[in-house]
Amino acid sequence: MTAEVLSQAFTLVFDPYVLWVVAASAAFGLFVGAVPGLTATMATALLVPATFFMPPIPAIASMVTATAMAIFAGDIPSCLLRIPGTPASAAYTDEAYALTRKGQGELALGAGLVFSVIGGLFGTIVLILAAPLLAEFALRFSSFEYFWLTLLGLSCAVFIATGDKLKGMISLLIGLLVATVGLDNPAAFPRFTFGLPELMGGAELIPIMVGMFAVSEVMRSTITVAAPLETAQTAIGNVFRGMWRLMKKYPLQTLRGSVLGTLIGALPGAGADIAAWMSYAMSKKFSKEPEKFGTGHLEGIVESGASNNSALAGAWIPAMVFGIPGDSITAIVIGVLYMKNLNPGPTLFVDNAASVYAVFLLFILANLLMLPFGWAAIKSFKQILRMPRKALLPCILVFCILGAFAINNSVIGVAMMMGFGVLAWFMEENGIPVAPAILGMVLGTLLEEHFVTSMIKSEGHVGAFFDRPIAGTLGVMMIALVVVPPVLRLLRRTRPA
Amino acid sequence: MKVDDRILGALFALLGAVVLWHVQSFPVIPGQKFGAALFPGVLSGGMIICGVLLALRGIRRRAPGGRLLAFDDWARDPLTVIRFLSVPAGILFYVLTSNFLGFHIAASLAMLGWLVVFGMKPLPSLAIAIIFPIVMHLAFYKILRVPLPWGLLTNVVFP
Repeated sequence: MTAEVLSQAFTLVFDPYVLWVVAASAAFGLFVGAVPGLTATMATALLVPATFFMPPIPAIASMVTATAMAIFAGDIPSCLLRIPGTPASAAYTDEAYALTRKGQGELALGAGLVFSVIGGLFGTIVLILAAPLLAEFALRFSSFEYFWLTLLGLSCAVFIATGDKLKGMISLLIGLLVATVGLDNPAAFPRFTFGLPELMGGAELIPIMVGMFAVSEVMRSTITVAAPLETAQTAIGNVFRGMWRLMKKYPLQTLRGSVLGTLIGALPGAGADIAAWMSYAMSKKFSKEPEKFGTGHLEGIVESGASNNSALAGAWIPAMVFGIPGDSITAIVIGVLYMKNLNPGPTLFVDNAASVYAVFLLFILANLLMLPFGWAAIKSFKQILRMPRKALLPCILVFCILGAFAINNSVIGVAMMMGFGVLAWFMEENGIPVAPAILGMVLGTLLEEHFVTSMIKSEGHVGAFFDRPIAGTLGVMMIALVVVPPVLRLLRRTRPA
Repeated sequence: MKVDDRILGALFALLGAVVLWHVQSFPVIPGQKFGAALFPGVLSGGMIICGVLLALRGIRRRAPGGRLLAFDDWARDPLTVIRFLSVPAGILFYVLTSNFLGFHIAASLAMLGWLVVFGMKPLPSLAIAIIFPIVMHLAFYKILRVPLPWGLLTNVVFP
């Protein structure tokens, strides 16, 4: 297969239109990431309406490029303003700003850029190696395995990725409930449609995501819109100076950050931001000079900078192979893949191998392009800052309205966008994470389908869910995930130390 | 706006109960045990359990003098509150009026409102509120062929 498929993939990617889309999305991603308060997830959500009108490969290209750029660009304001551009940069914002105050902003920015590229490429290599192998394995799955796998993915989002598990569970249930809206169920009975014909086909995911990730963020931004932004350092030197020395000084840290980032990215529900926090903590724990952390020390920036970009690629592994998103960004991507008839799952690797390899190539391309584009973004950051947010936010809102409208040409989409925007803001205000809800909405229909199919096949016997070897293993893992932590806690409490 | 876990949990459990009651009316497939009500039924059970657990936890962890509803500092500044509420209000305005006014007028008015409320000066606000919807019109209507409603302008554009 390979040579022919690879040449097909090359033709798909190195097409003038695709390259044009990649360049435009790179600029867009850098801009959104660099503006404080606008996140990489928001960049993806805002891109969806545009991708709606593109063929599949440019649509994926735009999202891969924009998110990779946005995650790096988040480092720029966190370094120069002490405001993380995206949540994924928050872990090392203080560290980077401390360097800037010492007049070494270019070192922090350079490390952010170079190690983002290295981490991103590492995650891509793992994606290229692991995804086809997993897909081959997954071809043998039946509805029982898929039921457990989907449930395992959703539980990961609740039990591993969120601090407050009960509130994470509530978020997940909200998402699953939204997914039950419409005719798409065993009896084809219109559920929870409130008599609106627009809801027969189910709650449209795109307006919901635009609402939850873009509108809610604009609402939060209005609170600080009047405050002016000022940089701590005006002149930025050569950001690539000293990077080679850093690479030689911290090879282990780079590798550890990339590995951990890829793994966390691949876990459903946990994305680049959690990867960065965990890698920063890990770096400090294993460092020979932990006392320097927080005073403008590059070690943590190297490790977590590599980590957050590798998480992006890692998140695509379960997304492409099983259709289970690894983070909020891939949750949106999966919605787009379904729209483009590139339904994720193991069969994608058999029926559409060229597209799969095209995605791999796009990841490599996007990460390599980060070097020149990121350099340009650092250079022009002062101009980006000059763009007043009070003018930017209304433009984003009108763009959101158009995006939500264009999916079905109906204002119901716009109203849903508003409703879910307010809901997402309210949820975050009260410590209810949004990511499990998004996962629930994306996976709810599948979960129900596999659940009901399996129930019908087994005539209601729950034991059948454990009969097949892989399904049984997954089922036991699932139960262990829920039962083991509280039992351990109980044991620890009864046995006095 | 922070709502206490006691209220949050109670409301969520109540929502679960409403769903459970509602799914009882879903039709069954003849000769089939599992139908449209099974999955939402399971979910509603989960909602009731989680809601009750959250409310109980809220009662157990209740801080002395803890209020059921608390607002952040910014909520005391009326201008910030107006800015914040203008986001859903502006979108709602668009939803309600866009069919009648058309995309261009409704979007321009909503934008003008946002720009002024966010603190732009009137003249630049007016310029952006007129130009940006036209740019969006070119992108979405002309290039992407999204049928944006013309509303009041229908007779002007198609005389």
